[in-house]
Amino acid sequence: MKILHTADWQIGRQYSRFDSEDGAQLAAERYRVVERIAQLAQDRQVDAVLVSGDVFDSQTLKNLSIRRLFNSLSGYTGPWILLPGNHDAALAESIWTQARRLNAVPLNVHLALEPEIIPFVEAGFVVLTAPLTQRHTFADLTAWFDTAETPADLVRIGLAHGSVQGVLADDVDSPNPIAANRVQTARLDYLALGDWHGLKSIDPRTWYSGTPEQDRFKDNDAGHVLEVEIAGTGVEPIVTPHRLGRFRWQTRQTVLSVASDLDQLAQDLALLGEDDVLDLQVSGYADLAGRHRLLQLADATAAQVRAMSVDIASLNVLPTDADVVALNADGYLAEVITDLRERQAGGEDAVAREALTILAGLLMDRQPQAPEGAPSP
Amino acid sequence: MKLTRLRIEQIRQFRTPLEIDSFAPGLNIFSGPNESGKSTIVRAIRAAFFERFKTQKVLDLLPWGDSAATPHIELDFEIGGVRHELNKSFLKSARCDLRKGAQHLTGEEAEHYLGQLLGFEFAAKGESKEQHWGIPGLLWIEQGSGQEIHQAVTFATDHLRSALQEELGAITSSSGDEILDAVQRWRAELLTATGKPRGPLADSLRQRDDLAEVIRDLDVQIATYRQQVDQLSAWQQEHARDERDRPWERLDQQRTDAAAKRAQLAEQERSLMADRQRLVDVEAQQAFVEERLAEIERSRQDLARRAVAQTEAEAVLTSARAQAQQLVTRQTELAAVVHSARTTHELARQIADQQRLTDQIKEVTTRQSLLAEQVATAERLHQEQAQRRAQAQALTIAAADLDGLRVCQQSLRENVIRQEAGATRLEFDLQAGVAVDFDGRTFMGATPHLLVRPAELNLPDVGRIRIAPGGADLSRLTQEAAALTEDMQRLLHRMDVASLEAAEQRHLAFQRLQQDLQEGTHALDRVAPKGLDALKIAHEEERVHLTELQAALQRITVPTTDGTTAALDEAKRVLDQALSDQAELRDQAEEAMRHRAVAQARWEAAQQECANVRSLLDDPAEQQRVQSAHRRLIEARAEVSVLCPRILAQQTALDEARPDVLDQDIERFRLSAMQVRQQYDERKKWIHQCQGQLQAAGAQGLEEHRDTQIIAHEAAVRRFDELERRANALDLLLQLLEAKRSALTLRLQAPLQRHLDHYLQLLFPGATLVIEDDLSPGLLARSNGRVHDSAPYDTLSFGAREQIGLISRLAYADLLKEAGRPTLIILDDVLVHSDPVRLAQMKRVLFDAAKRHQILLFTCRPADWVDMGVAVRPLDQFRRSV
Repeated sequence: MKILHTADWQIGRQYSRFDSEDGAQLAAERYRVVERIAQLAQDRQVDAVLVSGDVFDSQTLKNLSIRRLFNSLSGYTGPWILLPGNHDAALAESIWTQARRLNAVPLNVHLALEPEIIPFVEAGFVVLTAPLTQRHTFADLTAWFDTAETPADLVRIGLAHGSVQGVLADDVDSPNPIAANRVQTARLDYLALGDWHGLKSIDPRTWYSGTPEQDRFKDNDAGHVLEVEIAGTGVEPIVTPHRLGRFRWQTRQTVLSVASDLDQLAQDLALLGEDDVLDLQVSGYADLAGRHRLLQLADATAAQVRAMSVDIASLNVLPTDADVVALNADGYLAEVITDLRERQAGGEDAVAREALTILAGLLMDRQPQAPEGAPSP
Repeated sequence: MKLTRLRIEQIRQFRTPLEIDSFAPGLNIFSGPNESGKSTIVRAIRAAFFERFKTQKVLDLLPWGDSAATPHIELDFEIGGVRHELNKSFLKSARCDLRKGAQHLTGEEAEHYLGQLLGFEFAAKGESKEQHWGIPGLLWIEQGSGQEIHQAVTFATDHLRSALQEELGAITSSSGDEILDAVQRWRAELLTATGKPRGPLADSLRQRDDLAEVIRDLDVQIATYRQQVDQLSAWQQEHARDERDRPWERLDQQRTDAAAKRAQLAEQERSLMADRQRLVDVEAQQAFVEERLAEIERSRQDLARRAVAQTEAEAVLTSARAQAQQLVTRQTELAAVVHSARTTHELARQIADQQRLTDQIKEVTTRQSLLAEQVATAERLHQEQAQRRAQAQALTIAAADLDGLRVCQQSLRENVIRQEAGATRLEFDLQAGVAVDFDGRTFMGATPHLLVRPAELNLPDVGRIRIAPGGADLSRLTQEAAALTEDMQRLLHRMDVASLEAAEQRHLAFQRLQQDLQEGTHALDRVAPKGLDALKIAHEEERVHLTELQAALQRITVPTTDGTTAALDEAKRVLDQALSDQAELRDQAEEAMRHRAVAQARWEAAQQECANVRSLLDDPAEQQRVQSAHRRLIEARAEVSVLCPRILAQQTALDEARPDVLDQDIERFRLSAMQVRQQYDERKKWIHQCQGQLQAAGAQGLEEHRDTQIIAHEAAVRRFDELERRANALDLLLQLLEAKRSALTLRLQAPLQRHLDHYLQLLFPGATLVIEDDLSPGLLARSNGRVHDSAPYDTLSFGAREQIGLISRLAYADLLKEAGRPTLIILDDVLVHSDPVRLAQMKRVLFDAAKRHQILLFTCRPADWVDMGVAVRPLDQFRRSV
């Protein structure tokens, strides 16, 4: 038997830190990755696609978003099992009831809104589901797997959403606990988990597939789905990750101290392309020319990558004496520049930094020989 | 700069040359009356420097009426120890030569050099104007313009600034003010003057807050939505539980059980109720019988009481009868007394009437005879009066006629007298027997005749003699006499008398008769005041009265009496007393009768009642009923003693079973079942409603919408933060720029301030004068004892402005001098508006300045300047003859 294991699609998620156009692209890509999953499932001729929770990012999405998601599944005509997670728990009224009301759920898509045993007798396996029916639970919803009786010749696959106790770091999404030895106690051949957005194997039979399309700046190998093949009961599964994610979320934290640091950064950024989402954080010190170059570099990179957020607020601008001379700042203007430099050096004075930048900009504008494209204030 | 020689020729009034070659290095005072050429000299010096030699716009330099002249100026001066000689000619043979040490400059080159040296410019075209004069414009004061300083300073500011900078070695900013302007402008786009957000900053702030509000609102909606979902879930669970358990059925069963138990109790209650009813009946019967027996006992007692009452009533009746009898007897006696008194009284009354009538008749008879006499007298008098009236009627003459007659008689007499007086007197003395007819008369013998009218005397045979009296009015008198006679005759006729005397007599007789009439009337009035008829009526009335009285007397027939008739009053008193006693006795008798009747009735009633009671008690049937009643009483008492304990036992059993609580249980179970059922139904409805609401809310995509708003909000926050940072930065920048610039300005102006203060202390000790940005004098603050006064330069008096203007110029000169610039001060008739005290102080100022600068002072009041330590030189002495 062969299945695809995926999770945490987070349909409907929006991205606040980017330009809204870029954010929309990132959101749209989440539907496309689902389409790619369907395509992969079709290509690999799997017996089912199991989604371990958090299909939707929230309970109340626009009807349009709900319909689009189910439309994206059309590439695979085999069975889909969608499990509610903490973001889309199967509450009395939920996104699932809304989807059903809309008649948006195709016949080959099974919504696992209650704990149940779903048999795939021909393929030779059963799926035991542990859906979240509350936003947060503190009980282990997979506990019932231990006592669930299934035909002995069928492979037992658990489907759940939560954090495996004592394994994951503290920053998991929810407190919904799952016992670390559930595979053993429930005699499962495979436990397909969701909630952790990175790809992670707890043990050979217990896996987090991670989100298929990365959605945060965290380098934990997100962007995969898992192809799981199990020859028979008791046989260790063969798990093959397929990278389907398009965007790579990258963080660049650079402290500028000498001029060549900037060269280094430039080389690094030059490697990025249109599938990269960048978080650029620059601190340290730069003279006027350095700052100018940094801004140019940021502009160029923004055009090059899919989306970018820049933080240079903590970069100190220190005009050199040569800068001051070049700016032709004589008389009391020179005194003002000196004063601002001192203020900036005296502490994290963002206002003084901004003031200095404005003043430098004004002076540069007055220089006939100022470099083209000088930063406008 | 030191001027050493000046020569001018063919300029205005100086057709012949004027040359001054003895300029002192310090103060030089030149005097001359008005129009002696002081201003011409100043104009010439200005022309030598400011005007281009080639210009044609200097015609004012020409001597009057000599357009062919060539104005020529020579100036020798020293700058920095180098001797300069300037020769400048205008118009006809225009040229400019400047020797500077060994150097020789000509034409425009020379002019340019001078401009740079002294700090002025040339007009691009035509005449040199104020704005070109630069430093000399400031230091060379034209007549009457000493107080106008702002303009001159403005045109020299650049030169002064550069002098200040050279002195300081400080650098102002070349583009500082432009930057400052830009910063100010940019700040103003984001902040108001007081630092409040405006423009894009305000917009972004509003947007940020608006979005935050929207998000808060959405959060509330989402929270509500979630809460509703939880509620729905709870309801659904409860609903499922009710569906399964059907709790109302259990409650219904409980109610049915309680009802069955209650039915049993009801049966017991009915039995108890019957016993209670029986007890009530028996007790009622017992009470009735007891009452009946008591009644019989009361009747027996009553009979005894009534027998006593009957005896008493009988005694009362006997007493009443005796009293009544006694009163009847007394009444009969009193009736006889009354009859006797009444007879006596009647007799007395008749006698009294008879006496009274007799007296009245006597009186009336007397009165009637008196009246008869009066009537007779009155009738006689009346007769007499009638006669007199008839006589008087015959004698009546109109009084007017009598008076008229008297007047006529008198007038006639007078007329005769006057006729005689005027008539012609004729004396006839005729022989006897001869008769002459004359004047209607026949005269004989000796007869006088008065002729009053012409008359003819017939003398037979002789003829006639006509005689006419001479008096003119004789004829008139005659006429009058005739008229009077006629009147008199008429009156006499009317009165029916012969003459006046007869009339007078008749009138006298009439008057006497009148008197008699009057007396008669008085007499009649005395006899019959109300007239004769009234008197007659009174007499008649008395006669009738008398007749009546006599008739009444006739009617009274007095019986014969024993002669001892009592007086009427005594008879009346006796009768009244008898009547009164009779009435009193009658009342007593009536009362006694009533009393007797009542006593009779009471006695009869008591006798009857007594008989009734006795017959009732003695009835054998009644005896039987009494016995029966006693028997029934005993039976009832026995039944009560059985019923009471039985009822008590039953009641106790029922109280222990608490049927009221059972009733409450039944009601409780019924309500509970209904309640549970209702709750179930309502919950079903709520679930339906809630699902509907949630579907609607879910379809809005609240959370997705919120995420969108959060993105917008974060963008707004970023934009606001950026703008705010920029605004703060601009604010800081502006503060810094202004502070630095202002500090620099102060530093730059310090030397000028020093020079200015030096002079100011000589003029106004303790005062301060502010230097404006353009270096012109500003606010002057003075302290006079305790009074502090400060005023802007422009508001000072003319004299003060001139003084402050002058010391400012001297301060500029000091500044320029220290910067190594040439200074020459020319004062044309200055300080003419200063009072002696101020002038004295200004002289000290000028004297001090002259130690550092060459000063040319022109005045038309030489006496004012004799105390300056230098000679006041009249201009005349410098004129040269050709």
